[in-house]
Amino acid sequence: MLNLIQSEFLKLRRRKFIWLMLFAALFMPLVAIFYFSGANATEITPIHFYKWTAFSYTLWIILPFVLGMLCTMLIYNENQEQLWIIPISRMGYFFSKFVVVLFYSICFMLITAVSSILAGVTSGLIVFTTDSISFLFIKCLEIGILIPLAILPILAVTVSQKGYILPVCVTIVFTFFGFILLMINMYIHPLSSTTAIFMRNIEGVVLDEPVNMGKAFLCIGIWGIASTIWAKIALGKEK
Amino acid sequence: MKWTLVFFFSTIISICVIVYLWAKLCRVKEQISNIKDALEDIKKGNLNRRILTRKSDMTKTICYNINEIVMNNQSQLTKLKQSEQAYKRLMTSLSHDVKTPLTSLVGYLEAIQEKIVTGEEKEEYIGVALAKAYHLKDFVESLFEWVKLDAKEQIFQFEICDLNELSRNILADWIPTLEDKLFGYEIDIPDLEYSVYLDRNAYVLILNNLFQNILLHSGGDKIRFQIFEDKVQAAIIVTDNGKGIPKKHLSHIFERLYQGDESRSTSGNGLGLSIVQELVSIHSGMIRAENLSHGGATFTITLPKAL
Amino acid sequence: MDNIVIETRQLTKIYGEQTVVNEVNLHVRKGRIYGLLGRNGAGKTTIMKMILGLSSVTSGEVDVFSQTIKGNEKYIYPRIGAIIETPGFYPNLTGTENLEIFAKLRGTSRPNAVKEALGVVGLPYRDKKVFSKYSLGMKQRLGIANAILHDPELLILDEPTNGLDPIGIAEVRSFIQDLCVKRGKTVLISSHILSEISLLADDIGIIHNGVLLEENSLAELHKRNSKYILLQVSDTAKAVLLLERRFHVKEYSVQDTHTVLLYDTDLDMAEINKALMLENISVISLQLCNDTLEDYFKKVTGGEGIA
Repeated sequence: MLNLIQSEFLKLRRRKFIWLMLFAALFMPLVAIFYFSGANATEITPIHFYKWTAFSYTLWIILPFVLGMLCTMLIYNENQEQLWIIPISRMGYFFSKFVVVLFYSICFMLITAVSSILAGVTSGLIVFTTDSISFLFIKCLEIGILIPLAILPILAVTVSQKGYILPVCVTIVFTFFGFILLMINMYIHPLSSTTAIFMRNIEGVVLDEPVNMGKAFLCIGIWGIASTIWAKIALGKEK
Repeated sequence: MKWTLVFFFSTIISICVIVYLWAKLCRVKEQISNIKDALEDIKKGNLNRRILTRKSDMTKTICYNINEIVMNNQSQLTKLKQSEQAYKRLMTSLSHDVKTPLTSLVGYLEAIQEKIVTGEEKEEYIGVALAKAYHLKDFVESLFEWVKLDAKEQIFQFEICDLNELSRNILADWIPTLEDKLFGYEIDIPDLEYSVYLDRNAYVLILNNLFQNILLHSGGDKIRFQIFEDKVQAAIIVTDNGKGIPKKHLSHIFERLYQGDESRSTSGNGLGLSIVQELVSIHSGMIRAENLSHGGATFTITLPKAL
Repeated sequence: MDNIVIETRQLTKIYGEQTVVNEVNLHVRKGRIYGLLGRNGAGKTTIMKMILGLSSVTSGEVDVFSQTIKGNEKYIYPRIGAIIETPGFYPNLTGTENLEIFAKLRGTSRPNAVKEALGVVGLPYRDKKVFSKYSLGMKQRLGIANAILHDPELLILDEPTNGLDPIGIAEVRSFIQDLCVKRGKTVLISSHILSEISLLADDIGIIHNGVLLEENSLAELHKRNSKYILLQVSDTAKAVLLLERRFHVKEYSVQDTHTVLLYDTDLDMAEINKALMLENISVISLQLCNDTLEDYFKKVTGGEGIA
C-alpha cells in the first residue's frame, strides 16, 4: 500500500499544472483585501476576515472544483490494464488516488490559511491574534479532510472513465448542486453536508436550526461508501 | 483541554505506528510464503521461476541471492542442453551427409563390379567413385577437426610468428590450385615483419578453409587477399567477386553444419567456416563476413599483435 | 500436462451479435515461441486479453500455469510479462522513471533490473527525455523493457514490432529468440506478418475471423511445405547411380535405405519412373511435394492470404 501511494506521488513529477492550481488558494485572500479595503474597515474581526478568505467560496466552489480537476489529471494518463497485470488491487488503486487528493487538499487549505493571515496582516486590516490563528488552522484542516471525502463521487466517476470531458462536466455539475442545495436541504449533497458540519461553530453565522451532525456525517458517509462500491464495480468490469 | 489534545495526538501517532508495523509484518509473511512457493517450484525443476522483491522489503537480499543462484544454474543447464542439441543435430546431419555420397559411391562400385560398364566408361566410373571417396574423406577429416575443437581437446602450440611471412608461404601453396581452377588472384601483404602469437597449423587451417569455401561456394572467379596492420591488430581480408552471401544466411554461416545452399549441393560440408571461427576465437581474434555492394563477399579476420 | 503453459479450451468471445473469438483451443508449450498469426481484426488481441484476464470470457476456459487467472492473480501475474496494444506510460516521466515505478510496484528479481532491461532493448539509462517525446519505436522498446523487467517465465507480446524500423525488428526478433533459447522463456507473440512469424516462432497458430484454423510446429509446416520430389525405391544405390548418370541430378539426399529426396523439382517424373523400371529398380512411390508456406496460408485462410 505504501508503495502504491509513494509511486502515486512519483507520477506527479514535472506536472506544472498541479502546482499552478495551488495558486487558486491565493484567490480568495486577494478578493478579501479588495472587498474590505473598499468597505469601512474599522470593525473587522479576524474571524470575519477569515470567513471571507477561507470559509466561504473556497469551501463551496474553488476547492471542490480544483480537486475535481486533480482527480481527472491523476487518472487521465493511467493505462489501467498495464497496472492490473502487475497485479494491483482495484481498491488499492482507488485508495492511493484518494490519498493523493487528500494530501493535496490539506496542502491547499494550509496555503489558504497562511495566505489569509499574510493578506490580513500585511494589508493592516486585522491584527495578529493567536486564538484566531489556531482557529483558522484547525478549521482549514477540517475542510482539507472533509472535502476530499465529499468529492469521492467525482473520483469514482473519473476512475471509471477513460476521457476527461465527462469527469470535468461532472465536477462542475456536482459542485454547482452542492452550492444550490446548501439553501434547500443541507443533508442531501455531501458538499453541503460538509458545509453544515463546518458552519456549526463559527461566530457570526446564525443558522435557522442547529446543525444535525449525525445527519451530515451520515450523508457524506453514504455518498462516500456508495461511490467507493461503484468504483470497485466499474474497475472490476472487464470489457 | 491541553492534555486531551496531547492524548489525542499520541493515540493517533501510536495507531499509525502499529498499522505501519502490522503492514510490514504482513508483507514479510507474504514474502516468505512467496519464497516457499517459488522454492518448491524450483525444486520441481522450473529454473525460470523468480522471486520478485521490492527495494523496501526486508527479505530482498535473500530473494536476490536465490534468484542469482537459480539463474546461474539455469544458464549452465541451457549451455549443456544447447551442446547436447548441437550434437544431436550433428548426428542426424552426419548420417545424411555421409549416407548420400556413400550410397552413390556404392552405386558406382556395384556397377563396376557387376560389369555393367566396361572400357572407357569403367575408367570414368572409377574416377567419379574416387572423387566421391576423397570428398567423404575430406568431410570426415574436417568433422574430426571440428569435434576435437568443440571438445577442446586439441592442444595448440602458440608461438610468435611473422604473420606476413607465414601468409605468403600459405598463399604460395595455393597459387597452383587457383590457377588450375582459373581463379584470378590479387595479393597484398606488407613487407615488414609483423609478429603475432599463433599456432602455425591452426593458421594454415584457417586460410585453407576460407579459400576452400570461396572456391566451392562463391561462384566468382577472382580472389583478393589483403593484410592491414596497425599497432594493436592485424586485419586479414579475403574478398571474392562471386554472388555474395544471401542476407538471411549471413548471420548463420559460422554455425556448424549450416549450408547456405538450401539445395544441399553435394560439395561442401558446412563445417569449414565453423572451424575457422572456432580457431580464430582461440587466437582471441574476430571474424566477420559482409557482402559487397557490387557483388561478392568479404571475410575479415582480425588478430591481435603480439606484445 | 506440465509442459503446457497456456491452454485454452473452447474459448469464445461474443460482442453483442458478433462472435469475435470462436471456440479456440490454444496450447502454448513451455520454452517455445508460439506465433499467433492472423490479419488485423482476426481476434488475436482479444485472445491475448482473455488469456491475461483483462477481457471477460463469454464461454470456455483459460489455464495459465495450469491455473485459472481468476483468484490466482497474485501468483500468476508476477510470472507473466506482457505488452497489449500500444504500451501506455506516464508522459511526464522519463523512460527510467516509468520503469522504476513499475519496478517499485511489482518488485524485481535483481537489484539493478531497470538498468538491465533498458540495456536489453537499447534505451539509455537515466536519460532526460520524457516519454511524451519518445518516437513510436522507442515507446515500443520501453514497453518490451517493462515486459521483461521482472524476468518473467512467460511473455505475451501483442505485435511487439509495431512501429519499429527494419533494424529494430531484427533486433527485437533476435533478442526474443535469445530469451527463449538461452533463458528458457515461453513466448506467445502475435503478428500479421507471415515472414516475421516464420523466422521466429517454433509453433504457429493461424487465426482467421476468430477461428483457429491450424496449430502446428513450424518444422512440421515446413516439412509439409518444402519443394522436393520424394522417391521411394527398393535399391537406393542403383537408383542414385541412374539418376546421376542419366538425369545429371546433383542435388539430392539419401534419407534412409529406401528414400531419396530430389531437390530439383523440374525433373520429368514420368521419365524417371520409366528409367527406374527399365533398370529393374522397383519404385514404391514417386511424388512431388511442391507447396510454399505462403500458398499454404492462402489455402488455410480460404484464399485471402495473410499480408
